[in-house]
Amino acid sequence: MDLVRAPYKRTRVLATQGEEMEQHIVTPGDVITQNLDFMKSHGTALNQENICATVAGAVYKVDKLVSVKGVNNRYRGEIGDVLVGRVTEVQQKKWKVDCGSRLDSQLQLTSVYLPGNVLRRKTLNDELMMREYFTEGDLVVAEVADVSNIDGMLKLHMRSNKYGKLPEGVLIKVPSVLIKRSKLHFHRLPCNATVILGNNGYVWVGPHFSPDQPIEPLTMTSRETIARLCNVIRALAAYGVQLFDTIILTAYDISMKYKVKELLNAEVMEHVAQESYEHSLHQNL
Amino acid sequence: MTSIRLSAAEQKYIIESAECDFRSDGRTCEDYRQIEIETRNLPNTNGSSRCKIGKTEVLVGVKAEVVDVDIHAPTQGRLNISVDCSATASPEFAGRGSETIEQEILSVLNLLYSSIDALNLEDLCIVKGESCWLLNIDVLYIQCGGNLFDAASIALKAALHSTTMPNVSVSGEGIEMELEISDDPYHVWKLKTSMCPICITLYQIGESFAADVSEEEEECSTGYVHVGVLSSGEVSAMEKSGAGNMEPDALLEMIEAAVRIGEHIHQQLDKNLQAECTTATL
Repeated sequence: MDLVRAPYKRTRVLATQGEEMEQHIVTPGDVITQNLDFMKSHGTALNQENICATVAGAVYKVDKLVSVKGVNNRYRGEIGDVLVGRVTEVQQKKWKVDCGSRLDSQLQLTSVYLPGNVLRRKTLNDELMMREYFTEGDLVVAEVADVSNIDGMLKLHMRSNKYGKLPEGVLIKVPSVLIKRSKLHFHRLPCNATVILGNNGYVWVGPHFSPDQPIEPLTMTSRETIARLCNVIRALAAYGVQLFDTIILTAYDISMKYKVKELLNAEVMEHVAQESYEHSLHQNL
Repeated sequence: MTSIRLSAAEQKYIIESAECDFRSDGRTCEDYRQIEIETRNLPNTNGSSRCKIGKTEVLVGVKAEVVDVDIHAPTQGRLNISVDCSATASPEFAGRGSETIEQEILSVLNLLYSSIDALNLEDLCIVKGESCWLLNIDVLYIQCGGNLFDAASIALKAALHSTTMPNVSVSGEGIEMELEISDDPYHVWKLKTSMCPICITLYQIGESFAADVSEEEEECSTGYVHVGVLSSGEVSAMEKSGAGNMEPDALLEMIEAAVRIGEHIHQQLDKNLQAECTTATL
């Protein structure tokens, strides 16, 4: 691969995966249908007897329900979402966490388990020691407990020992629309790495870890695995492929014929994304 | 140089990766990301280029105008470089937020081109003691993804290589001297860019150093060195910046690495620029 080259013309691998039948790409104001029998869902509005799109994205028609799913939205949380965030502020009795939505989320001191899986009433001493648990800059994984009606601010909780501070690893930010909603977000992959696909589009890749246990020093093989997974996830995200554990593993296997650093090249990224997508389509059929 | 907050764990991972010579994206400490270069993309300029390294994207435009000669250098033309970090590159750059980084990039580019040998300024003189060409060079960052200095220097060399200068015919003498600038797009001459330097910036991360760092790696670094390297492998300029000490041995190693990397990039860049020239004339 040449170091210096002319710009690469990226081709489309696919638009966002949709479970529904036809998909049209619309921009705000485009008329979707003039048939008023359809029920209007997100991203649509009634305008002079036409159903029009209000956001830029793909049209989804399920039976009589029409909606437009925008692609470039900020993450809007829902109760039960698992997300990866970065602590931005330590305030009185709560932390503020950045998770890529319009407002920083709130993590109350009362909503966390203390180290050692202890759930007890937090004392004044705990309040003073908040920075010992999470300080500014820390990466945390938590679940959405509540969404405020007024401004959409998320309230997070860590009421399980699988949530908490993340150890050594890499954070990758992808558009939140690419994270497929699934029951599992923590994926302990067979290649000795863990991938956490946060619903907010923040993906964490790192070694296997258990809560409250220090991880062993990383070997070269684990660094290679983590780097390869990172590059593969970035390649899939660059071509708009929805991310879930099986497609990441497929892309990882497809990428094995390249060196890890070759996965940064535009042609290789396209090849990996294209093959993984086709492979996943065959598996589904 | 947007500020990214990293956790202690992430910093440890990045620093140890650099020390093992296997960074978080699989590159070694001396590997560059693929450099995309395109010239003559801005039609209103004498020369232009676009350089993309990873996420960093920079545009350079060169416009020539005839001005009075500087009395301290009556046989030379002039360069006027200006740097602009667009707010689209980062929200931090809105308003006056980009001033510090713009000044830094500008001072490095001026350092590289301060030598008379870099771009033969005597070629830009029209009438000795009277008129010369002033090259207004504008560097615009559209996206920032680390390694801003190197991208600008590579784009600058490419833009100067693509610059076409119109011919000037001089008639008359003294006060009645008239300069006629030719409009003929085929009757042009090109600047000699064989001595144009490229800046290779090496960041000290932990106990080792890395080239072409991402923004996260920049955050974990303690000090960096800009080395201006010519295509012949000679070092034309050097500047150490950032807060952090460097061992003299480490500094020498960094310069040697910069020369290796710089020679390779010059070779590849010249090959690409030549290829673009031949396709343009076909």
